[in-house]
Amino acid sequence: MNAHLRFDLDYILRHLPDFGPAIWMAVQILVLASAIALIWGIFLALARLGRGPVYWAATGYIELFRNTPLLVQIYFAFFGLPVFGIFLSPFATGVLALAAQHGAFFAEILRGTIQSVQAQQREAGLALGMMPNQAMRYVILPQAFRDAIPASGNQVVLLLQDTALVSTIGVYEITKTAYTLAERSAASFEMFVAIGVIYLVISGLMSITLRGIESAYRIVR
Amino acid sequence: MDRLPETTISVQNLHKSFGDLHVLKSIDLDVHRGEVVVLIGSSGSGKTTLLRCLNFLAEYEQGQIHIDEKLMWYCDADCRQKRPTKEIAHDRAAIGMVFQSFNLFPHRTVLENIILGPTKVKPVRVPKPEATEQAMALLDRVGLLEKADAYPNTLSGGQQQRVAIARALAMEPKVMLFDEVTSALDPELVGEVLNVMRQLARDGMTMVVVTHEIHFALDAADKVIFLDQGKIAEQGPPEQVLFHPQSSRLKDFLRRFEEMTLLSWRRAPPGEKARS
Ligand SMILES: Nc1ncnc2c1ncn2[C@@H]1O[C@H](COP(=O)(O)OP(=O)(O)O)[C@@H](O)[C@H]1O
Ligand SMILES: [Mg+2]
Repeated sequence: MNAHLRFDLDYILRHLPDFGPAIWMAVQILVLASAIALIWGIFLALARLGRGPVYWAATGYIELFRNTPLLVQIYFAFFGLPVFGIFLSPFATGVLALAAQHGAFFAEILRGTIQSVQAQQREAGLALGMMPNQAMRYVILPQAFRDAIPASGNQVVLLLQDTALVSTIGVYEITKTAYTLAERSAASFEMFVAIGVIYLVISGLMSITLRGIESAYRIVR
Repeated sequence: MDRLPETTISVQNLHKSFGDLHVLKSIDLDVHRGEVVVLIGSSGSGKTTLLRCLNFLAEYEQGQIHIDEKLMWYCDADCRQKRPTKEIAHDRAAIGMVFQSFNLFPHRTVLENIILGPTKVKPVRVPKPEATEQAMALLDRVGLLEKADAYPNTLSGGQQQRVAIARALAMEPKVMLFDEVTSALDPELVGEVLNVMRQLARDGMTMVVVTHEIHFALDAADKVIFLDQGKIAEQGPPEQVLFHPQSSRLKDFLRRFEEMTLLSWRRAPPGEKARS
């Protein structure tokens, strides 16, 4: 009867293999951007616990990147970096833009968990003769990292969703692929249902993995 | 044995304030090698602050503290000249401290808690196998050999505190500072910790002990100091200070322990008495 309300499952199944490279691309972006963001976040968090120019630089960076839309940052990197003579592939630009913002998010998670490690823990380290940086390294950071696992896990799941924005600068990840396939057919609704399911499955797998990591590293206090 | 009364800790005219609050007022204190000094005093009298000054965890405005005849930290009037953090940390490594709240590192096993200092912090690093061997010997000494691989949170308070003592001893300190180390424990766990401390005292460790356990003061202390409102109000041998208090402040303070502690001690001296 009403042709365009029919759900064309067959079409989705036929084009599912086309999503293989797209998923692989999204996973690469996810893994690279997460890794860079985590490391960058550690530096930012430590800088934000410091003093003077280091503190102000880190704070300025974090506030700037937390309070502007990621899409704007991606465009800024894509169109802005070449102006400064920096030419990166869309893929690299996307990874760096994601890492730049999520680094700020990780920094805030970690700053919170560092500050929530009891002051007596640091004191116990100092009383053993540790230098302040040793107390940070051996006593505070290991506890802060473990405490940060649940929130960081959520952050990585959000990062997966943000990989969709990289489609806007022409990276053939999941969303861009869906756009392209949708343009070629009348089945755009089906396409976006399909990628919704794909994102859901990847997120689900990530969440299961994260629960495992969480329980393996939980500190009972 | 060297019988000279070597001074391990020497405190002269120590003053310490938090803002307007003058917490320590002209403290003079000598602790000789192998001596056990027990500090008593009501809450807020400055006992913790004094220990923290001895360990340079707290800075002070006036006075001098020598440890083994070496001036550890000082500040002139405008506090311009400070000792470098690294030197302070170096000297602090030779002063063990045990806290009321244990403060074991929860992410490390008992053994890892103990060897962290010797392998990573001690001015002369100890190789891991050797540190492990020493740690096991210490665990044996505090009666917790079988807990080497346990995490702190799986232990009772008394066990955690004994591990904390072993952790401090692993640094081979010249002095041990104890800050109300049994106050957070259930009564039935107090004895096991005090016994470890008694043994330590018998082995000749120099100790400064803040405690409300009058038993311990009577049978382990060489000297008892009563701190009152930031001043040393009375000091002397335990029997003199605890049984013949001079000031009304100390009499009031001790009265609070009379029923609980002193009377029971008179009935059954702690040597024979099984604590429970
Ligand atoms: N970090 C601090 N800042 C401000 N006041 C403090 C601080 N530490 C201790 N004090 C104050 O110093 C006084 C002595 O404290 P403390 O040495 O802990 O006493 P005690 O251990 O004998 O109970 C108290 O009045 C306490 O409130
Ligand atoms: Mg105290």
